[in-house]
Amino acid sequence: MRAPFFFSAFLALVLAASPLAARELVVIAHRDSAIATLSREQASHLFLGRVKLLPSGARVNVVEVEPLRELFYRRLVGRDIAEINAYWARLQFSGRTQPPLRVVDAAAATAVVVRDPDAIAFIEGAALDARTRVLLRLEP
Amino acid sequence: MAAALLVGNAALAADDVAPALPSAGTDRWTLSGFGTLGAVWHEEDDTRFRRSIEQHRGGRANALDFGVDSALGLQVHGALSPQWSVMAQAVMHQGRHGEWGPHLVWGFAQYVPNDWSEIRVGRLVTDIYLDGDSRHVNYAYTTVRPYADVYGRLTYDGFDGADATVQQALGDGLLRFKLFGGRTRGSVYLNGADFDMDGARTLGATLDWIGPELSFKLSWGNMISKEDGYAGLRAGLLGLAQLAASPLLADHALAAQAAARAGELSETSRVSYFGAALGWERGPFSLQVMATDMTMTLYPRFEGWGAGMTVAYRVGRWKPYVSYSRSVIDASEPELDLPQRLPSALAAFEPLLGGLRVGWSQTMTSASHDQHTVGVGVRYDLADNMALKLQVDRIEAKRSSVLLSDDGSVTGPRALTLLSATLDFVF
Repeated sequence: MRAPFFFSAFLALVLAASPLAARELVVIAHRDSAIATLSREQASHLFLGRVKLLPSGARVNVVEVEPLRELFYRRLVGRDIAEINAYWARLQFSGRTQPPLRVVDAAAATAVVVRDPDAIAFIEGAALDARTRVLLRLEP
Repeated sequence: MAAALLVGNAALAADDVAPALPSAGTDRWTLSGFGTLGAVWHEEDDTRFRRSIEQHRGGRANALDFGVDSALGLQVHGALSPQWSVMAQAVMHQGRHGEWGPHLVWGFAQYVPNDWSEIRVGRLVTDIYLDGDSRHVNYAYTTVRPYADVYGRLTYDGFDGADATVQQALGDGLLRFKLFGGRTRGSVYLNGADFDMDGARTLGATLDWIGPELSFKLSWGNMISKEDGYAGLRAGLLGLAQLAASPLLADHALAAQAAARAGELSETSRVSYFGAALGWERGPFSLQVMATDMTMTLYPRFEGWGAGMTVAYRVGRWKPYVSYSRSVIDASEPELDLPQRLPSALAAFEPLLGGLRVGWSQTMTSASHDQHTVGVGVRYDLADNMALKLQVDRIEAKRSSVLLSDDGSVTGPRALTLLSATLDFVF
């Protein structure tokens, strides 16, 4: 296991050295959303398609930002993006649920969240908009 | 992953903006798919490797075969409202006549009234796979294919009916219970004969718990068929009973035995299974273990079990793994004590006796199976939606109903090293 461990450590260093890895990620909703906050566990269930409602009964529409997916899932659930993609293939092609909406960048995600009070998305903390509210912070 | 075609309100117009989210009155239709281009190779003479017993042919010795694992699936999903959706999925893969389909695997309407329950009605699949409810989506599996020793025998996993699921948060995970039932769809190809399971009834249930790292599943299923596959054998046994009871032979013990066996040949057959599976993922390390117990109560009664394990470790895009699977199933009824030869006065009935001997032997061995596989392989994720897998399996069987001889019959002892390469993709 020494060789794979070394490679994983090297990979972690490479990721940590990238500018993106140093940034905080946040999960956002509309500033007037019925959703006040999310726990990491709740976010995991929502972004992995296991639930679509919060305990309060609020419906949640999940939005992914393509360039941030790898970093987001590594921070949220500690999984490689290839595992997440295989996981979604499992769900999608057995009719359980469909993958979340995916957009190209934080601006597009913010636009969706501003328009849909039930939507949540993840963006970089630096791209926060006053029209949105932070539900969960995922720091480096 | 999916090409989303939106009908209705597309409120945002710029190139990179989000399409409209589904809301009441706005349909969202999605076309997606999956596939595998695969090849297998081995050098074991008089042996054909099959991925499942619904395949007519398998990969023969010293020939690259692209039919065993290759498949293409297309799926249409329509989100009609937050509660209602429809889905249809057709898959092209090698079938029992060597044809490629397409076969309708899924086709249902789904109603999700709240977050803790859902109902689906239509063409469904029994929920026995830990890696999703399908044995066709190879991209979702770490290995090239689901364990052929175990899942390769469960090809009657489709049904037309309904399933209902309820779920509840439990600890840091979700507990789900599903009940399903309907009319069985599927087929089996054994000893050169087709056994169509259409018309049988499927009933089952699953209970699973999914946590951050651990997932656990229990599954139970029953398939009941009224297909009478023993009419010829029953008639032969009754004929032998009459012959044995006649003054010419006067073997009353044989007459009683043959009559009793004829009576035991049921017109109803039942296949029952009970399985458990566990998955554990922590960081780059993953472990999957499964085991199943199976009983076939057609005559003769077959009982058996299957088990499998996969251990993998992800290093970036690479995911090396090792796997082991084993399945055993055997007839649990005593042999029929047929005489070696008839008296000379009854020589004309020797062909009947010979036919009975062959038929009885085939019946007792048709589903017999004792096979295990040790596999080593690596998965390389080329892209977000594509994976290349290379796998080497050492398969040893005392007898196998998944492997075939070149003449299409169930095989005796075999040992082969199987090389597999697949390119799996989703879109």
